[in-house]
Amino acid sequence: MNEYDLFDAFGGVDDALLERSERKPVRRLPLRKALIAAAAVMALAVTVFAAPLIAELLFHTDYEKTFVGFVSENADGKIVVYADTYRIDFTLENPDAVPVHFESFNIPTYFEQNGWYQDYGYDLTENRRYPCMEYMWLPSKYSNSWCIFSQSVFVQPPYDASAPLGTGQFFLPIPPDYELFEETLLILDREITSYRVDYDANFGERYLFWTDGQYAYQLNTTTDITEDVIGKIIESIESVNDNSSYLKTGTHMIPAQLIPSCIP
Amino acid sequence: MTDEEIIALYFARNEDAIAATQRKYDGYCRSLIGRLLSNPRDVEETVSDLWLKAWMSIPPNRPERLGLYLARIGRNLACNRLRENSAARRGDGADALLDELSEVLGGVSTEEVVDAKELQRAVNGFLRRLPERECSIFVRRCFWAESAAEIARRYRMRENTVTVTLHRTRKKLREYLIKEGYL
Repeated sequence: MNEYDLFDAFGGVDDALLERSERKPVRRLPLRKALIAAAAVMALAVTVFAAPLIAELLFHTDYEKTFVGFVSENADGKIVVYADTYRIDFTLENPDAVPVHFESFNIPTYFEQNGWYQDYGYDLTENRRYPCMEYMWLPSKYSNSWCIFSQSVFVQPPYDASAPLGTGQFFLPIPPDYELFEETLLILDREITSYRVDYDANFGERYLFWTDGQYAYQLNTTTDITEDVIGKIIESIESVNDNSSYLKTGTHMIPAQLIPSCIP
Repeated sequence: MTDEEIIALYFARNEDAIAATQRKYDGYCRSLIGRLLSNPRDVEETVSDLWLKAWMSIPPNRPERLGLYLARIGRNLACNRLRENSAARRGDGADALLDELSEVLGGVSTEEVVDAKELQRAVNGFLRRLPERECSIFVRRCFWAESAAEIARRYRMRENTVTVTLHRTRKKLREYLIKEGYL
């Protein structure tokens, strides 16, 4: 074997991987910038935030109103929720430690201008309390999944339904020697063809794949969840016209590709 | 004209298919081939061969993504030309990439003939195990032959970070190929 053979082998890269490499990457807010943002918020909280009317006169308020908090991973593999005055650590194995609610703040919004994030300006929204951690968008280490803590499941949208499930072409981490069991679920009068695989019986890990015709999804669980719960999860995800997938959480929708995540 | 309409022309054996393909994909394919071959004449001949190969292979093939299909053919044709030129390397754009792949092999070529399909499967298996971003960076380099600077612009990273990432991924690939018994 020589370098030409290896070069040739890269000519056979799967279409799914090639398409993914052609996608425009999602812009991520670097952790360092986000930490600076959080520090700036704390500094402002005791000064400018105390007098919002004065601040409103001093600063423009016509900025994006999206940044409530964000999720990241630390070196120990813990999920860390950063907000302006919170830092909440917990592990996926210990969902009980997750707080029930998350309170939003008047928080500065950072926006890009000439390639730099400007560290001024803030958004005078009212304080609100949001349900926390029932659904959460997890960062790259967890394959950009949604985590539904109460059910101990991950829901992963691979974003590519171009190849039918179960053909072996589909870009999912299904070992080739595992058998896919096709089954039809009837969810809200819609028939959804899904594929289930017992990934590792020893650990009780199970994968369920399904497609809505536009996207393909993966649900990974270590618990034996009922058809009813699977139905609710499938029902909770819907595609919208701008080619994103959304997870419904009450009246809020979490865009699937928003990184870093906002907790609704 | 959509890919489906162009492919329909191929299936109807209408020679307008080639012109339509050229209009839509000439730049796309030429940039890939141009990254691999530096001699303008080689590029021109390879691009011409590409259109002919597309005409000969569709039908029976019916590609789902015409662009990727053409890129794959163009890359293979460029690879053949690189092999022809290998006796006397002449500064082709792929030289650096080939050196990097040689590094994966430990700088040693073996006489052992490998099954190309098996090796492709192994490479795909390796890529699927990589984190998404790392995988895409490696594919941009090894399939699309983009330089570290081009990849850095695409992903808004520092060029040095891309270079280090590629180096680490090549190291992982070498370990993977050893583990799989290819080296």
